[in-house]
Amino acid sequence: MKSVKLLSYAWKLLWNDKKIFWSIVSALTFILVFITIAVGILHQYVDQAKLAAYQTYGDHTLIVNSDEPMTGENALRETGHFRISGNIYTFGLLNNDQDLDFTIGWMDEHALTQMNLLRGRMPESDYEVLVEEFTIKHLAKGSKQTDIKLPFTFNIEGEAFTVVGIVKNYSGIWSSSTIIDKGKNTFPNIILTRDFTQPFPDIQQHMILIKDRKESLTLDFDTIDTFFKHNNLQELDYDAIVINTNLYDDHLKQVNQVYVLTTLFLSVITITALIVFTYIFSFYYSIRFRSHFNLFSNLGFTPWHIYKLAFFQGLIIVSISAFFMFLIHIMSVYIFNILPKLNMLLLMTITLIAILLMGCLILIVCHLTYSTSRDNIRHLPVFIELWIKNWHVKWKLFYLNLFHSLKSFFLIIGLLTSLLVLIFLSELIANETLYETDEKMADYIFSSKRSDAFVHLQQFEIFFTPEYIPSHLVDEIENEAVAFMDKEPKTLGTSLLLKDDSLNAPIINRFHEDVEDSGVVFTEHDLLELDMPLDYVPLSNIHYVVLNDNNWSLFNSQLKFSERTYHKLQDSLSMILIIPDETIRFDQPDTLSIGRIENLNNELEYKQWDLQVLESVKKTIVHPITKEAFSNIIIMIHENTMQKYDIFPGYRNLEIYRDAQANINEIKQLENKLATLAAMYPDNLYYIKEAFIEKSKDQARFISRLGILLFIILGLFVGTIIFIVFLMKFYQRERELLIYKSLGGTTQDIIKIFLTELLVYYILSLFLATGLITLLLIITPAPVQSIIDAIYLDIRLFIILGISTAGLCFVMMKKLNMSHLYSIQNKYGS
Amino acid sequence: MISAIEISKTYHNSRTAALKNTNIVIDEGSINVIMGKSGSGKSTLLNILSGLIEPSTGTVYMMNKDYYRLSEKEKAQFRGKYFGYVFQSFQLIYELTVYDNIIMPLHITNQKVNEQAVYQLLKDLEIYHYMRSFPSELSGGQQQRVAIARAMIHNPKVIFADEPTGNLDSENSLRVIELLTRLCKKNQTTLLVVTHDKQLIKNPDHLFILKDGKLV
Repeated sequence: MKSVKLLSYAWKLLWNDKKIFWSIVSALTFILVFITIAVGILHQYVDQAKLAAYQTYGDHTLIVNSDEPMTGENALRETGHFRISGNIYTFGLLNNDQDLDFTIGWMDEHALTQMNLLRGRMPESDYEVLVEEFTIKHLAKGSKQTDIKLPFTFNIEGEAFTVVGIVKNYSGIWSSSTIIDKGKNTFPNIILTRDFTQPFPDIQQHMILIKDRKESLTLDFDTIDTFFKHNNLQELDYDAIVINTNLYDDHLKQVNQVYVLTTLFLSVITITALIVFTYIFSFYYSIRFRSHFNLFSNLGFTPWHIYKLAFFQGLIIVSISAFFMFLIHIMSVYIFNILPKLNMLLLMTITLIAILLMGCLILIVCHLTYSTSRDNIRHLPVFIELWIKNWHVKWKLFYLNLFHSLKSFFLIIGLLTSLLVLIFLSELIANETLYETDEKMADYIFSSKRSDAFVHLQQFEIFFTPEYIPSHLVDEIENEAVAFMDKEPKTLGTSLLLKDDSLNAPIINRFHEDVEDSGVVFTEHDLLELDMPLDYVPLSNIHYVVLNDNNWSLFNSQLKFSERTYHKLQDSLSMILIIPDETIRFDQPDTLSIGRIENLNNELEYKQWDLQVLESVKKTIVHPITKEAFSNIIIMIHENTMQKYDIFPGYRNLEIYRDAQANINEIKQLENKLATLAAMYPDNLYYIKEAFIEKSKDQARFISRLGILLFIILGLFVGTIIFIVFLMKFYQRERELLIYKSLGGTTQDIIKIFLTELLVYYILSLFLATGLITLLLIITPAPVQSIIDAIYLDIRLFIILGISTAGLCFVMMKKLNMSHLYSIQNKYGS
Repeated sequence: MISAIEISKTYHNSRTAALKNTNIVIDEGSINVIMGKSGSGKSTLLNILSGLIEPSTGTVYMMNKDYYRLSEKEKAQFRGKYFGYVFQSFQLIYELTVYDNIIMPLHITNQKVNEQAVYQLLKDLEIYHYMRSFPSELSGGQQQRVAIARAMIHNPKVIFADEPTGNLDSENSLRVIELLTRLCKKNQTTLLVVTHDKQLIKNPDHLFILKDGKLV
């Protein structure tokens, strides 16, 4: 028989059984639509995480500092792997007798799209610029920020520029071109048009921003290396190439993890959907279509014809479902276009629609399953029948209930396992994107944009800005709304850890090799000039942690010191020394001391404090909020000691984490205090990163809502599938369960039997899922942090399983009515 | 034993009553036959008397208790202790052996299995040799005898049989009914049979004929 004829038969058979046909098509369409929605949400996840990464660190892969910019540009322009996506020049601007560092440059369209234009427009012609909000008060001298009207003009090195737009603060400190500060990005403070090609011969630095063409999520050092060698870029100072490792090591690593997880999620969900469809289709097929095929077989169809007929039926169903899915997909494109504006109302609407759709699916499947269920669908292999033949009837029934069909048993276990893995993966994705952005970022940051550790000690003038935040003012900030405050002392970039003669070479190598990069270089001459003890070697890159009553317990949870240690720190000139590298050994830690260079009456002077090393720990500790590991040597000083012995004059950087439980009044009070503090230092570059934080919070809120949406949709999907699968199982055994009831069993007894069976399925699936998840965690770079939220995962899991099981019990109670026994007599027959 | 007073039944999807103001009394240990044409309401009456369908109006007393006023648990206990059902389509569990099917009521109601009583019953019903067989290995008549054994294993007070020979040939029908009535008489069990075959049970204690939902 010709295939066309068979196709026509297949179509007629389906079309004549419209109820079944449309129901299967609907079920498959629902599944396909769910996958489409899941794909959309997950893409949003990755895109949002990527955008957050670029906004935080800039989207440039490399920065090349070049003294001969044109040579570098010509060599790099339009090469294979990378492209030039911006140029940056640094310049000094004298404002109120302060020489401030600014950057000016152009960026490509990709980078420009990541900016929020607050006022004005984008630059269109040469010498038109966009500026960061904080720069206005310095560029438009003497004007109040609120009074400034656009456009206005300012001069750099004799060139006049017109400000046509203002963007939010986002940029990094460019005073050090060889370091991209952690948490800062690669964008300039002042942005020129893309086509601006005028050179700035008098400006000190020229940096070329280079972007990976592939927008890869991982940094391929080998490719970078090969690229530079292959393109003969040796004329560029190789040391001046700065890789944006912040972007890759921190945020994109996370995006990469989210990407891997989402890919995994989609693979699992596709397999799950296939199993579900196979389960539902085979259930109906075994009942409805089999009879047709038997008939055709009797009429002379060969097995090959039958297979082709079944294949065509499947093909028709899949094609029509795919067509409907395509239509819904077009609609979903519109939905995902409005997703960035995802608010609670929209979230609730989508959730409601999803609930209604799932409800429809349940009704369709319930109806179909009930109307098509038949007697004695169970098929046990003969060897099992013989094996259990002599068992006690109680165990026999238990066995039968569980393993009535090995195919069904493995299908259900496989399905449940993949559903549990899906929930875990969705939780992992949400953790990766949500918590990192939302909770681990300070709400307010007072930060001096000036770099005070850049200059070489005697070769350049060392900046000394008296404007720091005095300790007593910081104390006033403390209020109920503050959960945690990171205080970075005003060290002037010259604070030192001194060593005695026993300080060994590895320490110097490990902690001293980057001294030049840090900007502080001591020559012997310096040491002599400053009257520093010659048997001490200064170490830079020391991180100071200022301890107080609020943060002690958070740090001490990793250190496990007694309260006595804390009191000693509080009352005496002492410190805790933490060395992150366990291989490094300070032979005599108690002989170490710290000090700093001070500028007293324009004379640099060395001041040493004989801080006693109270405790010395060789351990890597992490920031209690951000969970980032400290890689430098840490000195922990109590803030009382700091103030009492005048160790540091105050703070240069404050990062304030708000208490999530704080009420509006407390937050207002805190913000007022911060505003007052900011007003006290009008000529400095202290600023509140409120706008940036708000943007991040907006993004976090969006991601959080996406997470809720994903969980709701997934929860509904998982709950519905579990409900449907076990409902089908119940209908398959309805006759038998009603016989139990007619023989004296109560509904509760029967539900108990069924629930025991369910429990075994759940437990076996949980075991399998745990094994799979462990495997996934081994093969994917999922952090342990995500597993710590297992309790929330369990709660969610139990809610989903609980609701679907309760729904099942409710249906069973309704269906296990004795009057049904009468009705099923006719239905099942013998 | 069982008395139904003024019972009526109208199904929710039907305008006419399947059973109209019917009164009936079933004596203990008696053999009762309910007959009537298709749609006369005989199965409805049996199902109401056997506790499967609640009447729309009227009361059913079983062992002097208003059955439909009992709780779910009490009804289950009642069924497990006093009732035995024989269905037209046997309703056996095909993955269990004949023996297991028969002792099922004892298992469900947590009663001890008296092996000798089971063997005797199997012998009485002439299926002793099929004890370890599966129902699918038996003929229709043998399967119905297994169903009868299951209905009688816990010595119920009453056995309800709805068209018990509906799926059997005439020879098997007579054999099954003969065995059923003989055992009921032997054990003093009340038997209530619905059939449309006048020749099936000769000389029942009571013969109820239904026409258009009323006893005539």
